[in-house]
Amino acid sequence: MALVELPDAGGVRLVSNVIDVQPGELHVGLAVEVVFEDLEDVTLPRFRPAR
Amino acid sequence: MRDQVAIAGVGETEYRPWGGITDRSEFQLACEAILAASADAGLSPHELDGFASYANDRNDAPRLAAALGCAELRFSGMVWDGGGGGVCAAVAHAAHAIHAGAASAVAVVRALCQGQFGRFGRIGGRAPGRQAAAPSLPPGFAYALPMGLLSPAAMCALIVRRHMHEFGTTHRQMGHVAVAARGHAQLNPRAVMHGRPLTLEEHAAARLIADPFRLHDCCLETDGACALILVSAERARDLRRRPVHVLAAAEGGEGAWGASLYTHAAPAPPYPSANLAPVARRLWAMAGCGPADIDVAQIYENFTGMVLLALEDLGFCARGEGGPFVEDGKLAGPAGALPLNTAGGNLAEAYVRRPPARSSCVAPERAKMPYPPPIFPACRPAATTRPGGRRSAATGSSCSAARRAASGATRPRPSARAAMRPPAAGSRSAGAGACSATRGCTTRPIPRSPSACPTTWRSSSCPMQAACASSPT
Repeated sequence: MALVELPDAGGVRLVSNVIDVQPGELHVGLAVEVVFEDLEDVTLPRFRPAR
Repeated sequence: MRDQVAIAGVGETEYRPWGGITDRSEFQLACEAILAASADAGLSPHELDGFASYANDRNDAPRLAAALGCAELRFSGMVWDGGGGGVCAAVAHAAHAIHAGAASAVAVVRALCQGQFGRFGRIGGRAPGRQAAAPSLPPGFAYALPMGLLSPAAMCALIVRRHMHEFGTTHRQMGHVAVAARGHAQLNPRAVMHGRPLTLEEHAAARLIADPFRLHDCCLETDGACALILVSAERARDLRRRPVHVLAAAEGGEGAWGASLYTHAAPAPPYPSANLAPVARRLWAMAGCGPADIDVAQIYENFTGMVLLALEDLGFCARGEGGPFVEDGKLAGPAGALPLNTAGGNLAEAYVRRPPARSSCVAPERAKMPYPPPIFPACRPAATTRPGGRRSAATGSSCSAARRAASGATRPRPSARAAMRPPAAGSRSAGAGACSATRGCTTRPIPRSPSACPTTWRSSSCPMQAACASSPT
């Protein structure tokens, strides 16, 4: 569970999940990029460490 | 409104862990708590003409009025969502109604049996034996639920984790809140955690719930009910108990914070806070006192970390200093400088989402301040010496501060219930020695014999009724 701030959108925050990351790697300030996941009838924005 | 309204009585049912009360309905518990509070005040329940509650309590005023035999219903108030934090707002609404002359005797009540309806944080499904399907979720969940943000623990964990990042607050500092509350529960035989003290080491080693919260950072899940009776200060003078006067009451908070519990979109400075700062300003101004005047605090603790934030918002310490503020053990009474939740509170006595209003609170002066939505009634008893009183019904975030009396009134009064034993099946106490009334007895302290019972009205479940020299009004 994470709050992800979108710096290009006036600092808007999303409640989301950070995936493809070890718990120890996760820290405030980690740069992330969005990954859209299709689940049944919804598409959810999730985030992974930026590459 | 200062000093115009008083809390004249308090009543509680027993508290049991979640799902532990199955022999009576949640509604019956609400009524029992109100009956106990009425007896404590020396009022007949028929005289009640108003009810106030919060967090969308299920036990509505018309049903309560009918069940209790109220002659007329003149006021009902419900705090709009806000969870347990609404408890002091409910007290405020009752006080405003009395002060405005809209009602004369208002019961503030909260009953909660999650086992009979639905467990907070559990989404979907129906447990066997449940009375009703889980209630629909607040609309604000739409932003967070799909991502797995299901529970208050997770919501507050995000807020507290941000505070830890910004100010260096540590989990161990939160432990001081838990340890202090648990220590106070050892003085309170009615507390669910009575007999189970807690150390900082145990707090640190408990299983993870929602980082940074571990098991003992989270409030209890319990069944029970409690109620306060409010009347005008003038009427309170003639009633049974030494009353506690309301000094001030305030509710609300930052405009964006309340909804932010779901969306986490509140702007940065107030985001990692308990949303009490704007309410505190109004409360202290209304009460004519400040944090320096407070000796005992009853602060809503859904989670330990939020208490640290509340202490900052309320002005007990600077912003960001909540962690270091508690490290010297000041929250642990009676020796601590600011005993917190002196009956054990939501972490150690019971959690029916209510403030620990009674025990140590009906002692000398107290201000109640809950957190989100913040509401602060500040209360002062008519006389300032003796301890007494106990807790109140469900609360969200509430905190209260009391002025310590010379008599050391911050210690919670031992529950009279500890002296009770259920009568042996088929037997009746003959009156020689202690009165052996069952838990239905609404008299406090439990009388030693029928002729010693000072109550003018008694629960119909009292086995002593036939022998009782008192008569119902």
